[in-house]
Amino acid sequence: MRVDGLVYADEKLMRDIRGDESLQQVRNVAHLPGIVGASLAMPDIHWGYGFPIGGVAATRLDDGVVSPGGVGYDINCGVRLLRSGLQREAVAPKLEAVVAEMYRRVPTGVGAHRRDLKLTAGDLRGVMERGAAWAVERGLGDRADLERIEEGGCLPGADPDLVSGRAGERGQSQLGTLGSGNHFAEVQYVSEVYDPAVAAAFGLRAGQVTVMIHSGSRGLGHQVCQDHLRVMVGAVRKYGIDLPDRQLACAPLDSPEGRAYLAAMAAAANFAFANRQVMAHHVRESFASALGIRADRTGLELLYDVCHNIAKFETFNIEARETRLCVHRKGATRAYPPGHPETPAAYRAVGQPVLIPGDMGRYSYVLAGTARAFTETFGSACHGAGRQMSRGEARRVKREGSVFAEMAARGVHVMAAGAATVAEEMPEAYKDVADVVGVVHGAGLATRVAQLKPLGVIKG
Amino acid sequence: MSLQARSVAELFGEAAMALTETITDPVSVRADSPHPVEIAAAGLDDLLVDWLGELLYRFEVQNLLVARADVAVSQTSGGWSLLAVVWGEPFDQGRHSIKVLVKGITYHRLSITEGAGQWQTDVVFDI
Repeated sequence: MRVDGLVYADEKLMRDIRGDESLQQVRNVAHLPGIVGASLAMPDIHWGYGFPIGGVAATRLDDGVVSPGGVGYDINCGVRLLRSGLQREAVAPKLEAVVAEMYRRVPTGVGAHRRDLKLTAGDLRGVMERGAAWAVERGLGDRADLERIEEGGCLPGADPDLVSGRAGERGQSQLGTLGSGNHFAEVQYVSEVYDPAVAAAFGLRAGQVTVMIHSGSRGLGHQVCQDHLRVMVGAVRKYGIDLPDRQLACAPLDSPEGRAYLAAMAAAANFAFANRQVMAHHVRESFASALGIRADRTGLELLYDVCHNIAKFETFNIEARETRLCVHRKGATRAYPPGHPETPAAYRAVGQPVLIPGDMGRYSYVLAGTARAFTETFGSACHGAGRQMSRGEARRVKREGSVFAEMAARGVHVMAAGAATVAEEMPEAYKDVADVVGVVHGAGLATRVAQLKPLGVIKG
Repeated sequence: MSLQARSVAELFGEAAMALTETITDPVSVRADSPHPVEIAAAGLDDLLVDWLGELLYRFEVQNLLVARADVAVSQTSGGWSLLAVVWGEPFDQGRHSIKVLVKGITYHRLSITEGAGQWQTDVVFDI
């Protein structure tokens, strides 16, 4: 191990964490060449491939590496939160219609594609180069949205020529689609405000309706990871890198293989930014249609959009020097502090919004980034609840049809392409995200601002 | 997935069916049309990842679900090659219930071993 492993958790979460191999994975990540500080793990850590999910690792530019396993297959999987001008009581009578419109306008599940948005090769190139701005330029959102997306909705250095034709084919019909598994678009309301001043800065108030979208780069990103992982396995041999697990395959940042992955990863990340931008547009249209009002009367505005599977160049103070590092966040969210120039101007006084989805039956959280995270965790916090039951286990304990009724009894209207997916995503399959958020808040990595409870959800 | 077979070709066929079984109920998939596949790789484990990656790509882009795979695997001067005909049909939302979307085929704990007339592999899908 080149550095220590550091896990943020309490005793209750540690009991689960010790039950899988994620701690060994924290150790393995500590072997990466050029790793700085520590191999970090957030309290929602669980077993991944190579890196644990919930892992953060930063590497130096001169002797460090980049590892696709430190990003994951779903490049720039992330979360976007829309706040609305509507209170829960105003939406409640038409909630089922809102969810049905979202389900109709945002394709979900396996094989989902948009009939209204088949990309040409030139379009796809534009998406990969310009990210969310590509969608805004086509009327799918507002220019103001871009200021409230991590990296402005476009990661620099994207090179579509380094994305395989096969990856392009997988993405060509999937822009503006949700996908399946744990991806969702959820209508929520602000159930509790913990920090009124920061909530006000984020434009949040009790009872307000919000919409959370969780999705990523779809098949395009999956294929970019698959293609480059293969190259990296060869690069490990070529550069004589000694690793305890082949799935940590990596290449020096300043190598043809490392540069190629970063450029392709940025292209996939931009596809993901555009994907969430297109879906958000259709969510706005869904509310307008179901409520019988103009889209601009819904007051649905982007609060923030964060990545939680990404590798990015960011600057930190290391041993009293401003140092550029490659920060891998795999199942971890950037949590920048008040005053940071990359925190949007509207939130600069209070810190970057940190969006933490929970399960579909309980709650999600909005937190604010802190100076402590900036010095301890390369400006990172947790990303979600983390599973406590495998998908197979969840399917065994839950009859597929019963989940819809159980969710309705909890006051959550669910529409999904696959009943099996809903069974796998039942609330009991996940840890209580309040426990995870409690650790992050207690450790001072991000502070609790508001809790959001679900009203309706669409899933793959 | 942990799989055993009497030959390496059979093992690769079993792996194809394991992928189908992860995505949907294989009993619901009809062997309607043949689709040739040809792959070469330096190592046998790379060949397995590429083989399953190929089937995953065909599912996502061509909607092809595999009902049966007739596979031949051989060692060449440059490594390993695979020739196969996969039989299947396009995904039909009305007849095929989707269990889970497979994002990728990982190298995590990937191993292919032979002993006592048995071939064995462990392969992890990212879902």
